[in-house]
Amino acid sequence: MKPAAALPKWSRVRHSLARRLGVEAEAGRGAWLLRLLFRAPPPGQRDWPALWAERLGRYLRSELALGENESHATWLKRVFFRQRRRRAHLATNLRSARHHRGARRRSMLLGRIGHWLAPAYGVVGRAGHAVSSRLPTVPWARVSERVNVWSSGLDRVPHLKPVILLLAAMVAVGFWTTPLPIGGQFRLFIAVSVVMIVVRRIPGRWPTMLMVSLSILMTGRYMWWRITQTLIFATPVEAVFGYLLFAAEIYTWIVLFFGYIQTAWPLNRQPKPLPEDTDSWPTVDVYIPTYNEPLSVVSPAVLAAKSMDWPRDKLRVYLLDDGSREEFHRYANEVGVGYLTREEHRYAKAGNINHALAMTSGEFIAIFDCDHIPTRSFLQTTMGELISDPKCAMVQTPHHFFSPDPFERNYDTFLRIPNEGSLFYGLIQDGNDFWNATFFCGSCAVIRRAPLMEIGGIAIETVTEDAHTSLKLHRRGYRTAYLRIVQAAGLATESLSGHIGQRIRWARGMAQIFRLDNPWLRKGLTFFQRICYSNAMLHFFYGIPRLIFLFMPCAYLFFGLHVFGADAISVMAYVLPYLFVSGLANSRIQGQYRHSFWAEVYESVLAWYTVLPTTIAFINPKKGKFNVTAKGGLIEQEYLDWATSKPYVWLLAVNIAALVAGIVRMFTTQRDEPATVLMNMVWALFNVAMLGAAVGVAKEARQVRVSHHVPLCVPATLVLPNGKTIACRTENYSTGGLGIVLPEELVMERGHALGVALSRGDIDYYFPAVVARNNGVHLGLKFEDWSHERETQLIQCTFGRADAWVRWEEELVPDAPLHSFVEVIEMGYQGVLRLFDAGLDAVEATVLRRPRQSG
Amino acid sequence: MKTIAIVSPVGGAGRSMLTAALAGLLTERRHAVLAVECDPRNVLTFYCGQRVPARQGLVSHVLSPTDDWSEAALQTDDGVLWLPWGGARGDGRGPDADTAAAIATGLHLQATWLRDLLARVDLAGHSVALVDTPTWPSVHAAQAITAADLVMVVVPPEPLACATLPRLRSELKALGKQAVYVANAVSPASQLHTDILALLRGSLGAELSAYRVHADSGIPEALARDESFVHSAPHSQAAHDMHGLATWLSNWIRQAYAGGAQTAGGSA
Repeated sequence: MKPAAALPKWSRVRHSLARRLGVEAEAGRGAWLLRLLFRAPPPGQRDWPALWAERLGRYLRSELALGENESHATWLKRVFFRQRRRRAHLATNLRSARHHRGARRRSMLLGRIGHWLAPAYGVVGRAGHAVSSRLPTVPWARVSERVNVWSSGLDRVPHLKPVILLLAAMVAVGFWTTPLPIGGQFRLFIAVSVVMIVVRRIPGRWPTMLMVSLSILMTGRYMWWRITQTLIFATPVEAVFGYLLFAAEIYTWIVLFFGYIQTAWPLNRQPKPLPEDTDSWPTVDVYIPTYNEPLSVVSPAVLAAKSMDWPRDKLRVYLLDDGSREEFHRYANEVGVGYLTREEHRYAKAGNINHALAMTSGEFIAIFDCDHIPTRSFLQTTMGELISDPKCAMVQTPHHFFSPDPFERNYDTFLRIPNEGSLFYGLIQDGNDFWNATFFCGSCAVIRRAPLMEIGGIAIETVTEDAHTSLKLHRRGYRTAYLRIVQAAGLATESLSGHIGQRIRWARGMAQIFRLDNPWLRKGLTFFQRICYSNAMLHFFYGIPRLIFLFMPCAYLFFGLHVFGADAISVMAYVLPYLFVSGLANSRIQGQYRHSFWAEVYESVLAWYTVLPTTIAFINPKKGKFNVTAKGGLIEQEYLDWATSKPYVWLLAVNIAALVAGIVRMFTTQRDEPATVLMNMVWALFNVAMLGAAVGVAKEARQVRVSHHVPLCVPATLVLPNGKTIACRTENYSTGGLGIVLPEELVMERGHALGVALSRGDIDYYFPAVVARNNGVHLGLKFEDWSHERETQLIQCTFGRADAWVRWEEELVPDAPLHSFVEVIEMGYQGVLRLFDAGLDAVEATVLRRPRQSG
Repeated sequence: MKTIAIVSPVGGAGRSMLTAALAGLLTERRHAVLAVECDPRNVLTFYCGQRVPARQGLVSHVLSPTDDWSEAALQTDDGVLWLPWGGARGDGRGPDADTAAAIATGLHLQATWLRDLLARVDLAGHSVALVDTPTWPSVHAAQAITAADLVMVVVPPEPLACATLPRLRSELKALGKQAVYVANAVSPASQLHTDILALLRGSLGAELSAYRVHADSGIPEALARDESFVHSAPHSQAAHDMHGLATWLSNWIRQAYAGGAQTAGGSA
């Protein structure tokens, strides 16, 4: 009976102990442990140790994924073995990150770094603000005005311009060729940088010119140094690689200088008024060539073209169907537009248009791709120029896309960072216009028939028939004009492969023109027209130089080849100023149309794919086939386009290996020149970021679409069956349906009938509809009694509105080079993470043999 | 103070509703607003929450100009001052026929009675009086038009409105009054409404306001529930339209004050 007697005794001891320690006798082990270490607080005070212990327990439980009352064994097991759980993806979902800016941004690299640096940033920011608020403000706008006054004053002095240009050339030659010690070169860099940074703040064109001139001076200096000092190689292998790099650099210099000339003075042309008397307005044929696009894509363009403001008897719309589809023929008859088709299908779009030229007779021809929807004001905006000047053969307007292209969709940069086309339509075409070298871009343009017939119709020798046609027009001495006013909008290419396919076609076509009809070789063009055309063509040869830059750091990091015959310090003294100054100058010129460093991303993605087509077309321009850009696709499941990204995965692997090799090299063989290793590693790291971004783009974001939904935001009125009205906005449009954003949630069943009214100017158009889906404030409507007439009205109230795209340029964000750099690096980082995720997914799928999800 | 008369050549056009709604919306836009009812129907107070017709008001002044009638004005929570027609008697009846006839005759003889009266009202800032009227032509509407700096003609998209509008328009032209025409109770679903609007646009040109007020069944419901329609259904299209109209009027008032100041400066 000993244990029985011991029990009450033990319990007595326990009770007395509990009283001493201030614990309840029945309390858990944790409380006992706590009281052994910490005294109970005096009454009325908080029990901090207990509170902290509880928090710690909760934290541990949540970290180890344990419940409230788990056994010791489970605790022990969890400490050493993690619970099986689904592997989370490392890459951030950028789309959700954008909506949770601030809170969730921490999940992204920059957010995290920014979070760490926030205190320092705050102090610096406050100090800077305090200093700048004490300093007097500089009236930059007034400085700009004064500069303009001076320049127009100087302009009036006769013969001054050639003298100044001559003097400038002499000074430039002196500047380029004067040798300086390294210290002097650095001081020069600082002086030029200071000037650049100050001049940046002055608005206007002359400061831009000053920045460009400084960039030319610094680049020339660098070139001189590069040619005279650095082409010294120890071995033939080094010489081979060294000259490769040198050749790639020569290419960039040419493109840089040509680009400066091309964009020296963007013309910013305004529309010319039309004659008062509408009887004197000429006849216009509108061509809408189509090949394999579905009718739902083509129909809005046709109906919008039909509704353009122009005398009814002088506007004829033709649907040029190269697919010879009966459905299209019927449709054309129903809506009352011409239908033209042909027996054979040679020369694709160019052949299609030339066939139509022979069958029609309008004095002017407006051409729209079948998915470009013109506004009602298109003809009235463009025709004034053509009517007032009989030598003007073509007027081009920008191609505007209301849906994001693959870059924008996969990186969620739509309306935040200008896309690839912005630079061309925002700046380059406007710059070309100054030199009378505006290219025809295949769509959204009006051409005069007579000159077009004179050159034998649209050019058929190359796959970029558009640019070639305008080249031929320019050779004949005709003028072209560019109006930077968005008068039509269309769908961007849906998938990355489609996007790349389109760029390959452009690159191949440009290379073909370069070979077959080189702007420098034949007569008829002015010097500057030649420069504009050749820059457009040279641009597409960036593939090889880009790949050289992507590979070059490996030459040193893997094999120890010195491809650049200079020490790290002098490289920094010459390369950095050149890159910095030309970067600033380009940021100033391109500003809101192309953010700094994004050209590198766009080019890196396309480089691999354009190398082969351009090279082949350059060697044998007759080779290669025309491919049509696919539109209206659908991406149901997120996926990484391995086929497209394969070359970049390899390039990325090579560059990452080079980084590893660099680290090894730094601590083993090349301990004597750490700066060189480090420099090459920074270069390789930059390449990794670019390639990461290139791979990341291949991760196609999900895109759920029933038919082709077009983003669209115009005010609308809902009319409910009970007679109430709701003011709302449209969200997207598809044939026969409309997405609506409601101001507040509304209870509505599917199939519920209601009406929606849209306005065109001050006329309301009413469309009866039923509710197709209702998801909170997002309402999907399906139109009832849908007819071509109703669709026409809808198009007129939406895409056809003259003001549909006027806010295009307001939406552009100005460039901030540093921010842009950070953004690009972030994209690269996210791209590498995406690749990593996709790789693990693939491994998991193979190892675990899970059936792949269809999609 | 600027005066805006709200008139219409047909009945049931929505004058009182617009007067009440615009009074609230203009107060929100920082105007001191006096809503005046120059209409013997004596219903304006229903729009500001009263359940019985007003006993005192403009009519008190007509009947006994010496009486202190300044207390006849009511003020609602949002700061709008309401001056009803008044004249209701305890048994729910209005003035008898003889009195009504005498009032009408008095108004006919004194064309500037309302204008003189409003000139005596002193409100701070860019103040405005909105005058509700019975169907034009009538002596009451004529009083309001004489007093007005701007005549807002409410046009329902009805055939009769088109038929009567030219007469009103030429009358306003003859008087040299600035006028703005506002289509009210427009239903986009109705082809007739669309056609009449097109017709009005053709004949009135820029005088037809770009703000047309859409038909909404919530408007009478709000009155029945004693609510302000604009506040009870803020997302309705009709409320949006009224906001647009109020903003336009507010701008007009400010410009009228600025212009007045300018001409005064010019003459000095």
